[in-house]
Parts: sequence; C-alpha cells; structure tokens
Amino acid sequence: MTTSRERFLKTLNFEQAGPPWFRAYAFVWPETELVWRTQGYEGPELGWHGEGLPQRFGLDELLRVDPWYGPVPEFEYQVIEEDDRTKLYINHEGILMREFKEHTDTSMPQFVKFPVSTSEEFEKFAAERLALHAEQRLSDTWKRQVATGQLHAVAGAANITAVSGEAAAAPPADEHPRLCWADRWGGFFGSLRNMLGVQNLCMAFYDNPKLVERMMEERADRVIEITEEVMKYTDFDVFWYWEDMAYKAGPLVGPKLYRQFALKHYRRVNDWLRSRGVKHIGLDSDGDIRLLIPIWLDSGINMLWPFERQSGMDVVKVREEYGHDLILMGGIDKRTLVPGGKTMRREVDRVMPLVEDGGYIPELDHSVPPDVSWPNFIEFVEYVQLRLGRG
Amino acid sequence: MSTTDDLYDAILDGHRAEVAGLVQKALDEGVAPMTIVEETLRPAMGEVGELFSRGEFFLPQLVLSAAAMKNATDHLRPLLAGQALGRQETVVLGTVQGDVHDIGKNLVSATLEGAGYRVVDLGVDAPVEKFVEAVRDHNPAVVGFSALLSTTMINIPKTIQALEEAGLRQGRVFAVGGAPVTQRNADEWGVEVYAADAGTAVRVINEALARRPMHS
Repeated sequence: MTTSRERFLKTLNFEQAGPPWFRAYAFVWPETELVWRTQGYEGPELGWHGEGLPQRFGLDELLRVDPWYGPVPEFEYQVIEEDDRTKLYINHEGILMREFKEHTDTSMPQFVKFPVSTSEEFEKFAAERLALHAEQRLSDTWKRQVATGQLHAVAGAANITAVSGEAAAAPPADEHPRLCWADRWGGFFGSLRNMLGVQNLCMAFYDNPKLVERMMEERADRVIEITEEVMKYTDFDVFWYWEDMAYKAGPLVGPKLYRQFALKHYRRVNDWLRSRGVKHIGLDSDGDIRLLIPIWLDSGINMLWPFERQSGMDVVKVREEYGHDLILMGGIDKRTLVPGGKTMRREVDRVMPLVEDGGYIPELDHSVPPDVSWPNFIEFVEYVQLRLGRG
Repeated sequence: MSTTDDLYDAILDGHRAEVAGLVQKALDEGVAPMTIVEETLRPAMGEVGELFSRGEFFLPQLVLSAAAMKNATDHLRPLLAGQALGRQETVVLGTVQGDVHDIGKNLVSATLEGAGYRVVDLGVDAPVEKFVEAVRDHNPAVVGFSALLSTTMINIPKTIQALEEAGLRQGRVFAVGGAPVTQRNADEWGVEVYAADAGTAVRVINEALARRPMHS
C-alpha cells in the first residue's frame, strides 16, 4: 500500500499514482462555513484549512513545514482609529490598513501605508525584522511539530500551529507529502510589495532600481538562510513561492522588466534548492500569468497553482504549450460548483485527460467561495473521486 | 523633434521630472496652454491607455505616465484659470459600499484626470447615499462604480437602482469595472460602459459620451 506522499511524488514525476493524489481544495473562505452550516454541514469548525474535511471525504493532505519567513519580531498589532464598521490598524507586517470589522476574510483591506519607502528605511527594516532570528522562527513548538508530523494541512496561517483531535493523532510523520512555503515573504514581487506597496514598487523599478535590486538580493539571501535551518529538522517534497502578481488582464509588471530584475534571484534560490535535493519548486500566483510562465520556467520553477479560470487560465492549454516541463495544480473552475450538476461535471471531465497524462493535481482554482453550497461541494468531491477511481 | 514632441514622449515614458520643464519650454515658444493639453498631453495619455490595454504597457508604466501627466497639468493649471482643463465632463467615481479596495479605482481616476476629465472621487466603501448626494451636487456626465470582490459587487446594482429612484440616471453614462465585474454584469445591470482595465476606461468613456447627447 503506497502512502499519500509516495502517490504525490509519483504524480509530480509524471507517473501513474494509484489512486491519483487528490485534496479537492486548498482553502475554505470563513463565510463559506457560515453558509454551509445553514445547508446541513454539522462538522467541526473548518477554518481556512477545512479542518476535518480530508478525514470526512478521504482526501489527501499536503502538510506545511515552513516557519514564518516574514518580519521577526512581528509588529505589534495596534489600532490607530476605528468607527462602527471599520478599523485602522498596523498589522503584524507593519502595514497600516483599514479593514471592515465583520467578514474580514472575504473583504480585502485598504492598504494605507507601508513600512518601507526609502533605502535607509529598508536597511533598518531588514536589520531589525528580516534577519534569521532562528530561535524565534524555528521555535521548540515548531521543531516538535515537524518531528511528529502534527502540522496543519495545506496553508493559510503565518505560523504552524498544532492540529487538534484525531487529525493530530492519526498520521505517521512520513505519510503525507510536505511543503515548505515561504508564503508572503518568499517571492521577489510579492514580498517587495508587502514592504513598499504596489504603486511605490511600480515606481521604484524606474526611480530607484538599486533599492529594488537590494531588496531582491536580501530576500534571496534570507530565503536560503531560513530554508537551510528548516532542513536541519525536516525534509520536504516541494518548496513554494508566493507572488500573486497578476490580475484578470495580465501581470502587474511586464515580463521584460520582471525578467531583468527577478530572474537571477529566483535562479540563485532555485539552484541552491536543487543542490540540496529539492526537486520540485512551485509558485502561487492568481490572475492571468501566461506572460510570466516562461520566466519562472527559465528560473527552475516547475510547478504552478491555482490557474484561475475567471482570469482566462486553462490548464489544458498550458499543458499543450509547456508539456511535461511544468507540473500543474488547480485549474477546476470553482464557479461551476455554484450551479453544480452537469456544469460541474463537464468542467471536471475537461481536465481529466491531464490526470492520465501525469504531473497534474486536479483541484479547485482557489478557495471555496460562499456561493458554493455544501451539497454542491459534496457532489463535486464525490464526482472527482469517482472519476479518479477513488470511490 | 519639437518641444511638444519631447513632451509627448516624456508622458509616454513616464519621465515625471522632465515634464514641467518641457511644458514651460513649450509655453515660452508660444504654444497656448490649451493647445498643449488638447494636442499633446491628452493624446499622449490616450496612447498610454491603448498600450496598457494591448498588453504592451503594464502597471509601472501606467503609474509613471499618470504621475507625469499630473505634473504637467499641475504646471498648466494656473494658466488655465477660468478655462476647463480639457473635456468639460465631470466623472463621479467610487468603490461601492462594503469594499475598501482602491488601487484600480485610483488608476482609473488618474487616467481620467490625465485625459482632462474633472474627477470627483468618492473614495472607498462609498454608501448609496454618498453617490446620490455627489451626483446631485456635481451633475456629472459619467458615474463610475468599482468593486473588487464578487461579494461586494452586488452593491453596484443597488447603487444604480437608488440613483434611478432619485431620478438621477437620465442623460448620464454609467461605467463599471473591477476584478469580478464582466461585460455580462454590465449588460444585466443596464450599464453602458464596462472597462476591463484602467487603460481602457478613458477610451470607452470617451466613446460612450460621443455616442450620446450631452446631459442637462
């Protein structure tokens, strides 16, 4: 009997995994749970990770072993002002933001001010907050959790926390595949945007290219340094970047400019990862990323998620274009689960040939939104399981 | 190349530091302020929008060109006292209630200002009443509604309905945009203009205004 980890690696190696590896979703919006509870869902609190759903449906899980790659110490949460509906506060990354008091997870905050605007501010920020600080990043709790496999599946939280109940007790440490996700501080656009803001970053490419270069260099240094520490305590099957640097009409930054600035830094990290035996390197970016894929492939990244259909992404066409150079994850249009039935089944059927081809993990093209009903979600999971011969 | 050609290129290339000097040089050479606006600045910004829509320009170029345009118009504004800066039309623009996202709206605002529109920006999380009040006060030719999320874009048709009920729809162009918003939504809501991105917004609004008689 092969483990989930072995089947995951077979899939990534374009081999047939029996049964194919399938986790169905990456995240569940908190509002989705509220709706589901009115539609018959009676399980435990789902949280971002959909706690309990893998056990309920017999899904595979991808465990995170990453520590926090961002500012340490984190900024102290500080409310600057508030009214009945919104509050203005400094978050753990030092960003001044305005947010609604209710439904914070399905609304997006307004970013008012970012922690860095000059080279001097960056050097101070980097020295005070971005250094290794190994004792804080890799705490005793983290070390115990990676040693025992008691980790949260999938993603979402800044720091690993212990899972509760039977889920924590059940899996042997090496049963599930492991992911080291540098999250919001691992990429070379997303992390800079966290420090400068998108508009200031856009201008810095032209006004202060030395600052952009310095920030990318620092991120590459630190990602390698932190990941090296991680490797002292656990192995992992995939390293993952986060960028979110595209929207429905294309990338925020043009491919020529981005290649000019970021390619060598990706390459340095990726070459180092490969030298340490990490075969699979993935990246998360929403939006229409078609113009950026060649840069990421050139850098050594070989796996992408989530391929949002609403942004025009199509895993079938991406496979036609890039063949087995690229492992695909996601790509099933979550919007088809809203009507469900034939619409959903047609969408699932569309991507099934990729499962046969290998190097493809079928799942929704991002979080499960609240307009997907609980019965329709069950219908989706059961239908994919049936198609994959897992039922 | 003439000074106005250099100015056109400076807007296109987003050379913010150069534009005020080039505007002054053109003025010193006897080019009328309004001529600079109508024959150089607005066409340059129009080309920026087209390049953005065609995927030849990206966000950094759009941001820099909009900033360069602002520097140019700031330099000209005192000389245009009593004259409208470019197009007469006023645009009331806001992110609808429940949504505090503003990057896309701000870019649309900047490109519209660059194209000579007078923009009344209602900011983010703008309630229905704020739209109604602003439309009453400013009598705009165009009202723009933005939303980032599928959960908040439902407030666009609610706001439109309130404006209709207040008798403020007649003779105006309504425009919508934002990540989850599609042409299909615009059609369902009876909205004339759907802008897929900030670069497209000026062109589609210009076209919509050209198609219809001026509002009262």
